[in-house]
Amino acid sequence: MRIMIVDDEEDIQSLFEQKFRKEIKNGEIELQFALSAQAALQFLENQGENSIYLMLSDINMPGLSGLELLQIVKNKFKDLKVFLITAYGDEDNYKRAIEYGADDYLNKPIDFKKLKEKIFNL
Amino acid sequence: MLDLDTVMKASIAISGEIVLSNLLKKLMNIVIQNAGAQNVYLILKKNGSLFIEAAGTNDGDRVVVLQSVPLEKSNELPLSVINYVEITKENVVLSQATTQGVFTTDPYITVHQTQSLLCTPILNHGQLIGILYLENNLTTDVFTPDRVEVLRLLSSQAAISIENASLYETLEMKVAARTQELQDKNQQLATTLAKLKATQDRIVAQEKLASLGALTAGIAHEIKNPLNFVNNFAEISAELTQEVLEEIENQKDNLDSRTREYLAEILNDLSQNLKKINHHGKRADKIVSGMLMHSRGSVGERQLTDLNALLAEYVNLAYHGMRANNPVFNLTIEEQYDDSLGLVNVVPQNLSRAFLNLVNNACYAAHQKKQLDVEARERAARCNELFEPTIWIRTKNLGDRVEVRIKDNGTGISPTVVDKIFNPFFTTKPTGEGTGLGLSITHDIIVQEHQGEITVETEPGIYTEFIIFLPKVKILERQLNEV
Repeated sequence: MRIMIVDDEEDIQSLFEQKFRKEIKNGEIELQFALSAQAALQFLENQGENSIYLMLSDINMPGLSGLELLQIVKNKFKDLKVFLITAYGDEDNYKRAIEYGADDYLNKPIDFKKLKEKIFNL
Repeated sequence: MLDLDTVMKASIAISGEIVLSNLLKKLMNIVIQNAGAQNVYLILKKNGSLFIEAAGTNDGDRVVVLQSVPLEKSNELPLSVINYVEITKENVVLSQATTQGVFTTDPYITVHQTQSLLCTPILNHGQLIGILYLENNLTTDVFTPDRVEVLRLLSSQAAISIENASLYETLEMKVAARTQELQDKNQQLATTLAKLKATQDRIVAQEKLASLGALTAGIAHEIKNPLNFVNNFAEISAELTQEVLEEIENQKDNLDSRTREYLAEILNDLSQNLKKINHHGKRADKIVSGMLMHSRGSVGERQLTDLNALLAEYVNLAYHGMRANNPVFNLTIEEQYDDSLGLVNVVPQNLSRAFLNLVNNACYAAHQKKQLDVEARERAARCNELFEPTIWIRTKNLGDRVEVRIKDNGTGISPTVVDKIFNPFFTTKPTGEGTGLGLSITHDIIVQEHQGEITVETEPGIYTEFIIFLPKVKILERQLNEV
């Protein structure tokens, strides 16, 4: 399955690649990265909704925020699952993410063990 | 024979006196000495009524200055004579009052068998300001024309002096009243100023803490992301190192033992280092998380809350938390909750954090003192009367606000640091044990979020008591709908 990670921090790519090294190696998971919400939307427009199984998006990004991206995605690509990721204990963001239809919500720092469980239980 | 010398001396004496009571005394003495009267009364007119102001007798020259006795209430004088003089403003001179003139039936004259009587008005610019009454019950014909003339001259001088003295007295009273008023106003102003200064100091201190809190939260947000990378990459690298070690184990046949040991040693060190990076990164993360609690972004919603229950719950939590970390920890908890508190409209999540911080500190201080106490006693080798660590939790309904007191008999706070305890990052705990954010966050929650007050009273080595006032905030309509 292909998972898209949307985050403006470039280092997140190397982090995910290393954390999912085994899953990538044995072909369980394929990672796709986007450095902005706009880039993620562009990818979905070009490749279609089914090109991605799950989207993980940061909330605080320059340009469109993760919450805005979530709204657009849930509007245009109804079946795509979206997890939002944000900094510690942000009650307000959490409420809005749930309101906009996020499938799950993760706090930074990401607990990869938990994330993997969530992904494989989807 | 008219004694002009006496009149002159008397006039000078009277005119030199400005204090009314002294003037009256002097006047009475002069009259008694010169007029041959047994009894002398001085009556003054005040606000349209007559008052006996002074009485004197020639028996030892006694003069009494009275506290304005209303004439009607007195039976010491022939009222018909006085009234006559008041109305006509003319002298009444009788050589034998019991048998002569129109006042023979006056009850006073009948009773006292008054012989010689002189009653003279004291006039100033034709206005009656008083009456002088003289009598002699033993001798007839005392008040000769000469004496009457002396009295007439004296009374005209007296009139002016009395007027002046009265004015002076009124002035004095007014000055005194005004001075008192000014003093009261001054006192009021000083009190207000002191209050204002205290309020200003508090506001400045609050603003300082608030801006420090905001800065703290801002820094935390910025540090959080890079810190996550440090922690995550350290973790992955530690895992990778483990993988390399496993791989070396797999390849042990291809490597000579010295190289293998050498590589293993380096990789083990590397793994240790990465764990250290991760450990300290996590420590920094804990601090940053604490700092983030200053953020006003996560303001909770007010709810009607049973403060007593909330407090009891967190006292319990703090106690068991301390015990879990430290098996030798133990203390007495004295709780006293005011049942009339009712439900209070507060943000329970945040307020409970504040309570937890304060109770934790109280437990820590009491326990700390116990440790010191034990050490001291062991050194002194005497074990009687061991110190008993105790905390007191009290609530009180003050009508429009609630008082919460959290007290411990622990180590207390030194006067040199007591001003700093609410500052972010200020701590007296050893490195690694406290972030210095607990009281800072507590202050934010009580003062900024709940518009309350928090103060501390302490004596080093004896006790510390935090006193919190929370205003009872009205329920919003929205909240009512939810209820």
